Amino acid sequence: MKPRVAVWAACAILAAVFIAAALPKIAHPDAFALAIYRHHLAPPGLINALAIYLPWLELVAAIALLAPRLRAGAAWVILLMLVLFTAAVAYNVHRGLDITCGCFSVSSEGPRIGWRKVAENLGLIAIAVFVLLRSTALDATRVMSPAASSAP
Amino acid sequence: MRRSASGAAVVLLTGLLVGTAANLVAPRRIPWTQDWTQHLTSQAATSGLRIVELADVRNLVRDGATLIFDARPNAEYGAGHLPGALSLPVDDFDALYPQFAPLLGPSTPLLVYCSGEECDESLLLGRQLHAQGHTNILLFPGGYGAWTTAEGGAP
Repeated sequence: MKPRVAVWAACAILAAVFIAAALPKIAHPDAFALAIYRHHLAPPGLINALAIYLPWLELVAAIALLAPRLRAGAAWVILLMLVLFTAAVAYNVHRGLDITCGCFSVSSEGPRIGWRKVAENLGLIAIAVFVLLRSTALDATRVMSPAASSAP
Repeated sequence: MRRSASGAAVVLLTGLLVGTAANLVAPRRIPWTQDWTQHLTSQAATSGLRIVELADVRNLVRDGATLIFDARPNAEYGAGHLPGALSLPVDDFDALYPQFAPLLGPSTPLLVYCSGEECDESLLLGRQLHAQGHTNILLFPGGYGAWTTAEGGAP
Protein backbone atom coordinates (compact mmCIF):
# COMPACT_ATOMS: atom_id res chain seq x y z
CA MET A 1 0.00 0.00 0.00
CA LYS A 2 1.36 3.44 -0.95
CA PRO A 3 2.10 5.73 2.02
CA ARG A 4 -0.49 8.34 1.01
CA VAL A 5 -3.17 5.69 0.64
CA ALA A 6 -2.25 4.24 4.04
CA VAL A 7 -2.51 7.71 5.61
CA TRP A 8 -5.90 8.29 3.98
CA ALA A 9 -7.16 4.92 5.19
CA ALA A 10 -5.93 5.59 8.72
CA CYS A 11 -7.56 9.05 8.70
CA ALA A 12 -10.82 7.58 7.44
CA ILE A 13 -10.84 5.03 10.28
CA LEU A 14 -10.11 7.65 12.95
CA ALA A 15 -12.62 10.10 11.50
CA ALA A 16 -15.36 7.46 11.38
CA VAL A 17 -14.68 6.42 14.97
CA PHE A 18 -14.66 9.98 16.29
CA ILE A 19 -17.77 11.05 14.36
CA ALA A 20 -19.61 7.96 15.65
CA ALA A 21 -18.45 8.82 19.16
CA ALA A 22 -19.40 12.51 18.96
CA LEU A 23 -22.95 12.35 17.59
CA PRO A 24 -24.76 10.63 20.51
CA LYS A 25 -23.01 12.95 22.99
CA ILE A 26 -23.99 16.04 21.00
CA ALA A 27 -27.58 14.80 20.89
CA HIS A 28 -27.71 14.11 24.66
CA PRO A 29 -25.30 16.40 26.55
CA ASP A 30 -27.19 15.83 29.82
CA ALA A 31 -26.69 12.07 29.63
CA PHE A 32 -23.05 12.55 28.63
CA ALA A 33 -22.50 14.78 31.67
CA LEU A 34 -23.85 11.96 33.84
CA ALA A 35 -21.52 9.49 32.09
CA ILE A 36 -18.56 11.79 32.87
CA TYR A 37 -19.73 12.12 36.47
CA ARG A 38 -19.83 8.31 36.83
CA HIS A 39 -16.13 8.11 35.95
CA HIS A 40 -15.47 10.04 39.19
CA LEU A 41 -12.39 11.73 37.73
CA ALA A 42 -13.38 15.19 36.47
CA PRO A 43 -13.69 18.05 38.96
CA PRO A 44 -17.44 18.55 39.61
CA GLY A 45 -17.29 22.14 38.38
CA LEU A 46 -15.91 21.07 34.99
CA ILE A 47 -18.28 18.19 34.22
CA ASN A 48 -20.82 20.22 32.25
CA ALA A 49 -18.14 22.12 30.34
CA LEU A 50 -16.55 18.83 29.32
CA ALA A 51 -19.95 17.48 28.28
CA ILE A 52 -20.56 20.57 26.15
CA TYR A 53 -17.17 20.89 24.46
CA LEU A 54 -15.64 17.41 24.18
CA PRO A 55 -18.14 16.05 21.62
CA TRP A 56 -17.73 19.08 19.37
CA LEU A 57 -13.97 18.85 19.67
CA GLU A 58 -14.20 15.20 18.63
CA LEU A 59 -16.39 16.07 15.64
CA VAL A 60 -14.29 19.04 14.48
CA ALA A 61 -11.04 17.07 14.86
CA ALA A 62 -12.51 14.13 12.92
CA ILE A 63 -13.55 16.38 10.02
CA ALA A 64 -10.23 18.25 10.11
CA LEU A 65 -8.38 14.93 9.72
CA LEU A 66 -9.80 14.76 6.20
CA ALA A 67 -8.33 18.17 5.27
CA PRO A 68 -4.63 17.74 4.38
CA ARG A 69 -3.61 21.21 5.66
CA LEU A 70 -5.18 20.56 9.10
CA ARG A 71 -4.38 16.86 9.32
CA ALA A 72 -1.30 16.99 11.54
CA GLY A 73 -2.89 19.42 13.98
CA ALA A 74 -6.08 17.36 14.13
CA ALA A 75 -4.01 14.21 14.72
CA TRP A 76 -2.33 15.91 17.71
CA VAL A 77 -5.72 16.83 19.19
CA ILE A 78 -7.09 13.34 18.60
CA LEU A 79 -3.97 11.72 20.04
CA LEU A 80 -4.22 13.89 23.16
CA MET A 81 -7.89 13.01 23.65
CA LEU A 82 -7.21 9.29 23.11
CA VAL A 83 -4.38 9.29 25.67
CA LEU A 84 -6.59 11.03 28.26
CA PHE A 85 -9.59 8.75 27.57
CA THR A 86 -7.44 5.62 27.72
CA ALA A 87 -5.76 6.68 30.95
CA ALA A 88 -9.18 7.39 32.51
CA VAL A 89 -10.64 4.05 31.44
CA ALA A 90 -7.53 2.11 32.50
CA TYR A 91 -7.53 3.77 35.92
CA ASN A 92 -11.22 3.02 36.45
CA VAL A 93 -10.85 -0.60 35.30
CA HIS A 94 -7.89 -0.92 37.66
CA ARG A 95 -9.89 0.40 40.63
CA GLY A 96 -12.85 -1.83 39.78
CA LEU A 97 -15.51 0.69 38.76
CA ASP A 98 -18.27 -1.13 36.93
CA ILE A 99 -19.54 1.60 34.62
CA THR A 100 -20.24 2.10 30.95
CA CYS A 101 -17.61 3.94 28.97
CA GLY A 102 -19.72 6.81 27.63
CA CYS A 103 -17.59 6.52 24.48
CA PHE A 104 -20.08 5.62 21.73
CA SER A 105 -23.29 5.66 23.73
CA VAL A 106 -24.37 7.79 26.66
CA SER A 107 -26.74 5.17 28.04
CA SER A 108 -26.00 3.83 31.51
CA GLU A 109 -26.96 0.37 30.21
CA GLY A 110 -24.70 -1.67 27.99
CA PRO A 111 -21.17 -3.07 27.99
CA ARG A 112 -18.99 -2.14 30.93
CA ILE A 113 -15.46 -0.78 30.66
CA GLY A 114 -12.70 -3.37 30.74
CA TRP A 115 -9.20 -4.11 29.52
CA ARG A 116 -10.65 -4.84 26.07
CA LYS A 117 -11.73 -1.20 25.80
CA VAL A 118 -8.22 -0.13 26.84
CA ALA A 119 -6.75 -2.39 24.12
CA GLU A 120 -9.11 -0.92 21.50
CA ASN A 121 -8.04 2.57 22.49
CA LEU A 122 -4.37 1.60 22.30
CA GLY A 123 -5.02 0.46 18.73
CA LEU A 124 -6.55 3.87 17.94
CA ILE A 125 -3.56 5.58 19.55
CA ALA A 126 -1.24 3.58 17.27
CA ILE A 127 -3.26 4.71 14.23
CA ALA A 128 -3.16 8.35 15.40
CA VAL A 129 0.61 8.20 15.92
CA PHE A 130 1.00 6.74 12.41
CA VAL A 131 -1.09 9.58 10.92
CA LEU A 132 0.88 12.14 12.90
CA LEU A 133 4.29 10.82 11.85
CA ARG A 134 3.35 10.40 8.19
CA SER A 135 1.61 13.80 8.00
CA THR A 136 4.60 15.51 9.55
CA ALA A 137 6.93 13.71 7.11
CA LEU A 138 4.76 14.64 4.13
CA ASP A 139 4.62 18.27 5.31
CA ALA A 140 8.43 18.28 5.59
CA THR A 141 8.69 16.87 2.06
CA ARG A 142 6.50 19.68 0.75
CA VAL A 143 8.65 22.29 2.51
CA MET A 144 11.86 20.74 1.17
CA SER A 145 10.57 20.53 -2.42
CA PRO A 146 7.57 22.78 -2.98
CA ALA A 147 7.72 22.04 -6.72
CA ALA A 148 7.24 18.34 -6.07
CA SER A 149 4.16 18.94 -3.94
CA SER A 150 2.58 21.12 -6.63
CA ALA A 151 3.31 18.61 -9.38
CA PRO A 152 0.24 16.79 -10.71
CA MET B 1 5.82 21.70 13.39
CA ARG B 2 4.42 25.21 12.98
CA ARG B 3 1.77 23.80 10.66
CA SER B 4 0.82 21.16 13.26
CA ALA B 5 0.49 23.81 15.96
CA SER B 6 -1.63 26.10 13.82
CA GLY B 7 -3.79 23.16 12.71
CA ALA B 8 -4.32 22.10 16.30
CA ALA B 9 -5.19 25.69 17.27
CA VAL B 10 -7.76 25.88 14.47
CA VAL B 11 -9.34 22.61 15.61
CA LEU B 12 -9.44 23.66 19.28
CA LEU B 13 -10.83 27.13 18.58
CA THR B 14 -13.44 25.81 16.17
CA GLY B 15 -14.50 23.18 18.69
CA LEU B 16 -14.84 25.82 21.40
CA LEU B 17 -16.80 28.20 19.18
CA VAL B 18 -19.16 25.57 17.80
CA GLY B 19 -19.64 24.01 21.23
CA THR B 20 -20.50 27.39 22.73
CA ALA B 21 -22.89 28.22 19.91
CA ALA B 22 -24.56 24.81 20.10
CA ASN B 23 -25.14 25.08 23.82
CA LEU B 24 -26.67 28.51 23.39
CA VAL B 25 -29.26 27.43 20.83
CA ALA B 26 -29.70 23.64 21.11
CA PRO B 27 -33.04 22.46 22.52
CA ARG B 28 -31.20 20.03 24.85
CA ARG B 29 -28.69 22.58 26.15
CA ILE B 30 -27.37 22.11 29.67
CA PRO B 31 -26.21 24.62 32.31
CA TRP B 32 -22.59 25.75 31.84
CA THR B 33 -21.89 24.69 35.40
CA GLN B 34 -23.84 22.54 37.81
CA ASP B 35 -23.33 21.51 41.42
CA TRP B 36 -22.62 17.82 40.91
CA THR B 37 -21.67 17.48 44.57
CA GLN B 38 -25.43 17.73 45.35
CA HIS B 39 -26.41 15.25 42.65
CA LEU B 40 -26.92 12.41 45.10
CA THR B 41 -28.98 14.40 47.60
CA SER B 42 -31.35 15.94 45.07
CA GLN B 43 -31.90 12.68 43.20
CA ALA B 44 -32.47 10.74 46.44
CA ALA B 45 -35.30 13.06 47.43
CA THR B 46 -37.14 12.37 44.19
CA SER B 47 -36.54 8.61 44.45
CA GLY B 48 -38.23 8.04 47.80
CA LEU B 49 -35.00 7.69 49.77
CA ARG B 50 -34.24 9.48 53.03
CA ILE B 51 -30.89 11.17 53.56
CA VAL B 52 -28.98 10.44 56.76
CA GLU B 53 -25.83 12.09 58.01
CA LEU B 54 -22.79 10.74 59.82
CA ALA B 55 -24.19 11.15 63.34
CA ASP B 56 -27.32 9.18 62.37
CA VAL B 57 -25.20 6.48 60.75
CA ARG B 58 -23.14 6.11 63.94
CA ASN B 59 -26.36 5.46 65.88
CA LEU B 60 -27.67 3.03 63.27
CA VAL B 61 -24.39 1.08 63.32
CA ARG B 62 -24.48 0.99 67.14
CA ASP B 63 -28.15 -0.10 67.31
CA GLY B 64 -27.70 -2.90 64.77
CA ALA B 65 -31.37 -2.86 63.75
CA THR B 66 -30.67 -1.49 60.29
CA LEU B 67 -29.29 -3.62 57.48
CA ILE B 68 -26.41 -1.77 55.87
CA PHE B 69 -25.61 -2.33 52.20
CA ASP B 70 -22.35 -1.28 50.55
CA ALA B 71 -23.12 -0.50 46.90
CA ARG B 72 -19.48 -0.28 45.76
CA PRO B 73 -17.70 -2.95 43.71
CA ASN B 74 -16.68 -5.97 45.74
CA ALA B 75 -12.98 -5.10 45.62
CA GLU B 76 -13.60 -1.73 47.27
CA TYR B 77 -15.83 -3.36 49.89
CA GLY B 78 -13.04 -5.86 50.58
CA ALA B 79 -10.59 -3.02 51.17
CA GLY B 80 -12.80 -1.60 53.92
CA HIS B 81 -16.43 -0.97 54.75
CA LEU B 82 -18.80 0.26 57.46
CA PRO B 83 -19.10 -2.08 60.47
CA GLY B 84 -21.65 -4.80 59.78
CA ALA B 85 -22.19 -3.74 56.18
CA LEU B 86 -23.07 -6.33 53.56
CA SER B 87 -21.72 -6.12 50.03
CA LEU B 88 -24.41 -5.57 47.42
CA PRO B 89 -22.75 -3.98 44.36
CA VAL B 90 -25.44 -2.27 42.35
CA ASP B 91 -24.30 -3.92 39.13
CA ASP B 92 -24.71 -7.39 40.69
CA PHE B 93 -28.12 -6.58 42.14
CA ASP B 94 -30.11 -9.08 40.09
CA ALA B 95 -27.75 -11.90 40.98
CA LEU B 96 -27.31 -11.10 44.69
CA TYR B 97 -30.63 -9.66 45.82
CA PRO B 98 -32.41 -13.05 45.99
CA GLN B 99 -29.90 -14.11 48.68
CA PHE B 100 -30.90 -11.16 50.86
CA ALA B 101 -34.61 -11.02 50.05
CA PRO B 102 -35.71 -13.57 52.72
CA LEU B 103 -34.08 -11.37 55.40
CA LEU B 104 -35.87 -8.23 54.33
CA GLY B 105 -39.42 -7.15 55.04
CA PRO B 106 -40.99 -4.24 53.16
CA SER B 107 -40.43 -1.87 56.09
CA THR B 108 -37.07 -3.22 57.27
CA PRO B 109 -34.75 -0.24 57.62
CA LEU B 110 -32.04 -0.41 54.98
CA LEU B 111 -29.03 1.90 54.74
CA VAL B 112 -27.16 2.23 51.45
CA TYR B 113 -23.86 3.97 50.80
CA CYS B 114 -20.97 4.11 48.34
CA SER B 115 -17.65 6.02 48.30
CA GLY B 116 -18.98 9.49 48.94
CA GLU B 117 -20.68 12.52 47.44
CA GLU B 118 -19.01 11.93 44.07
CA CYS B 119 -20.49 8.45 43.50
CA ASP B 120 -24.04 7.41 42.75
CA GLU B 121 -24.00 3.62 43.22
CA SER B 122 -25.84 4.08 46.55
CA LEU B 123 -28.58 6.04 44.79
CA LEU B 124 -28.92 3.39 42.08
CA LEU B 125 -28.98 0.60 44.69
CA GLY B 126 -31.58 2.51 46.73
CA ARG B 127 -33.77 2.84 43.64
CA GLN B 128 -33.42 -0.88 42.92
CA LEU B 129 -34.45 -1.74 46.50
CA HIS B 130 -37.33 0.73 46.29
CA ALA B 131 -38.48 -0.97 43.10
CA GLN B 132 -38.54 -4.27 45.01
CA GLY B 133 -41.09 -2.78 47.41
CA HIS B 134 -38.84 -1.61 50.25
CA THR B 135 -40.15 1.58 51.77
CA ASN B 136 -37.68 2.39 54.54
CA ILE B 137 -34.45 3.13 52.67
CA LEU B 138 -31.84 5.49 54.06
CA LEU B 139 -29.03 6.89 51.95
CA PHE B 140 -25.74 8.05 53.47
CA PRO B 141 -24.31 10.54 50.92
CA GLY B 142 -20.99 10.93 52.76
CA GLY B 143 -20.41 7.23 52.26
CA TYR B 144 -17.30 5.33 53.17
CA GLY B 145 -15.14 8.42 52.61
CA ALA B 146 -16.93 10.42 55.31
CA TRP B 147 -16.96 7.41 57.63
CA THR B 148 -13.20 6.78 57.38
CA THR B 149 -12.43 10.47 57.77
CA ALA B 150 -14.47 10.60 60.96
CA GLU B 151 -13.57 7.20 62.36
CA GLY B 152 -9.90 7.06 61.40
CA GLY B 153 -10.26 4.42 58.69
CA ALA B 154 -11.14 1.42 60.87
CA PRO B 155 -12.79 -1.16 58.61
